[in-house]
Amino acid sequence: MMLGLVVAGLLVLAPLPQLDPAAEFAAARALYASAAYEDALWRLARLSPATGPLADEVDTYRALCLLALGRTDESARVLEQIVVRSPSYALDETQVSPRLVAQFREVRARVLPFSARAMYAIARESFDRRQYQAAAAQLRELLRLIDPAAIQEPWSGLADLRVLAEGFLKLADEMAAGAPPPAPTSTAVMPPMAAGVASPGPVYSNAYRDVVAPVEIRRQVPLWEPPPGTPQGTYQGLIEVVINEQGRVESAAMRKSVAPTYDAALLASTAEWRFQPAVRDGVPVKFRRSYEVIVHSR
Amino acid sequence: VTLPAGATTVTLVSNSHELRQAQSVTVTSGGSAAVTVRLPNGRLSVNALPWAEVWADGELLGTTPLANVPLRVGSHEIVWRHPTLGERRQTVLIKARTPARVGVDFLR
Repeated sequence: MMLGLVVAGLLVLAPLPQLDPAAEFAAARALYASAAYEDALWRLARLSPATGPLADEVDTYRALCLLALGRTDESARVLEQIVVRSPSYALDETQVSPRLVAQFREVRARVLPFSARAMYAIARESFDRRQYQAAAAQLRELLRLIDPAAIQEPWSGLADLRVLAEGFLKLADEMAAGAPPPAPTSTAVMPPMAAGVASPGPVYSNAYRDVVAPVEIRRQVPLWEPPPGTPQGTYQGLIEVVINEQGRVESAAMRKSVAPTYDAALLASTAEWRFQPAVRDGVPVKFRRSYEVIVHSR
Repeated sequence: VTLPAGATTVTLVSNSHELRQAQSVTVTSGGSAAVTVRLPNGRLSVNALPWAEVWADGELLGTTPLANVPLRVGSHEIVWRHPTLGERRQTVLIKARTPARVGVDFLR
């Protein structure tokens, strides 16, 4: 396994011609129905940048086409993307092939623990940023996802995660209702998303020419141990961090998932990253930076 | 077909099947010779909405969606079966070069 990390560059894309996503999707479905799988894939790829709310449906058809063509590793990757993007997404099992249903169940069972932990980490980040209503909504969604009645194969740590989520949901609801700040807690077993609570102040970036960018001192990323069954290939993602005036990562977020099994560990590792902080007019300032992350599964 | 004695190349052509096969045959004087035609495989892609098990000439091909299933060039009876929506049948011509594509919609 190799791991590379490079600063993401700015990519400017030419505007695409206007598409009617619904019409394009209907055309792709018709091609799929007539067993023209390659043509349907081409249509779906053309449609992808404009899918929006159709993304999960579009990816379901993409997975079906790939499955038909025997490209099962790729169909599994597409299904992973669905589960990461929409952990609560459910197939209408009467309307799709049992082959896809079986693969989706396998992928979901494998990915869901990581998605759930990532959702918890995101909710904790909202809580730490004092965005209590957002945190409460995120925790409710998480609790729906890990409702015991909805989990076919409970995993280790599921019960603990549920207890944590319920506890923080209660706190978030109280804080959103205007209750006084709670006493510090030390019950969290999940790694925090950031080194500390975000403090106010402008966040600069490469767009500010009068700001000297942070200099890396320590930036270790975790090794990825792909879970059994992970398709071979290269996995790419994008992580965005805000480096505070002390040179610590104040917040981190995945702008593009690398792999569900890796995102949470990568986010957690940023708590140990250290920088010489960005400087403006001789004064340390916050700085937002993105890193492209590439891992290989072999 | 009457042929002069000796070795002859026989070319079998079927435009409808996109087939052109040349085979050597040796005919003895006053005798006869048989030419066995070995038909190549073409390809079939098949689908059903919502889905179905697919059979070709009584042999299970698999569950849809299926692509590039090898089938002998010629006509085949394809049967789609769904546990609650019933059965559909269709004769499909498999050609040597152009893959055949066929789909049925149980919901129509």
